[in-house]
Amino acid sequence: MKQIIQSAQKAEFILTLKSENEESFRYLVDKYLVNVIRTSMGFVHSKADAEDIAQDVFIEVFESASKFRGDSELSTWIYRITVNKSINFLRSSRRRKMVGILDTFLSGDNSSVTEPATGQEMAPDNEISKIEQSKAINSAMASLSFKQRTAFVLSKYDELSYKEIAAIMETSVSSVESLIFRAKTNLQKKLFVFYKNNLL
Amino acid sequence: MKKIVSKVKKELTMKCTYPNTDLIFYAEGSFSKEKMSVVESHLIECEECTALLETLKRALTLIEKEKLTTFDPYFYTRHLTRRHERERKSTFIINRFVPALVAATLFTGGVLTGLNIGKLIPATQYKSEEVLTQERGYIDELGQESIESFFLTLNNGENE
Repeated sequence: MKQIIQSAQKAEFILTLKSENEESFRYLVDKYLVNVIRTSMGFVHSKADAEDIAQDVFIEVFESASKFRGDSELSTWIYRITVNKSINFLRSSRRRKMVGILDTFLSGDNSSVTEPATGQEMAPDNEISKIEQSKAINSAMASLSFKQRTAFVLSKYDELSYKEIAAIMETSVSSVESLIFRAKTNLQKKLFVFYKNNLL
Repeated sequence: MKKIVSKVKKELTMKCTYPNTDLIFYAEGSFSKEKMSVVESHLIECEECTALLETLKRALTLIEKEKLTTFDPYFYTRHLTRRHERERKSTFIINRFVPALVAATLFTGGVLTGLNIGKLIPATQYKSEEVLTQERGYIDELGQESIESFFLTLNNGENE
């Protein structure tokens, strides 16, 4: 009985969302903001970028709420949008970086290449080592394939079950298991290399 | 002798396979009790693995810290502003380009309709080019013939 009431409430909530009801949309943002930011943090590792992605996610949710058919859970749909937006953000920032490098190479100005990373200029030694450590971990995570990374982030950052991850990634539970296993093993290998090179 | 033994021991530990396998699962605590105790006994002997375990633990702590990141309390207000901006932009595009597009479509439509109407009229309704030239000839001759030459032609006829 409880389930029926819950599903009826869900259906009603989705209907109010489809009618662009501001109040229910605000409720949705309040409910899922933490999850959306956490997921995007797992991909971009920057608070500002994660918030930007979250803005885009909720704009898309608002604009395409009318297209939501209710085949999957609302949370699954939101997570899917978040993952796609985060991956697109990474792809476009990679492209921007490439263009930047090409620009510096063509103009013969290498000042921006040798420039230290943000926040590192005035930081004390222990802060530098922390920045270096997190940079090493981030680059270890960046070396994972997008599929492994998505499964790892959803499991580690959002603490979702394999079943939920499988629904988000539109794959089977066993493939999620294998993706997470490979992601962790690869991450360990990468971190071991960093450790060997005294980066950690 | 002692030195040689310690060197051999060190070499043996350096060949340890744990760093490339499943130490991360131990760091997470996702192993069974039995496997945990196996790894623990290995860690007592292996310095390299202990150091790597520390590294892995640090990495996992950093991930945990990232998870706790607080977010902007004015997120929703910023979201509303962004959404309104987008709406304004889209209406601006509509206001600017749609009238021009409508005018261009109407113009092209008008031209095409004219051409099609022209095609619909049957060719028999037209006078042939030959007839038209003849008619045009008579009219042109009247205009071109001067009054003097007309009288001269008339007089010549009477004299004869």
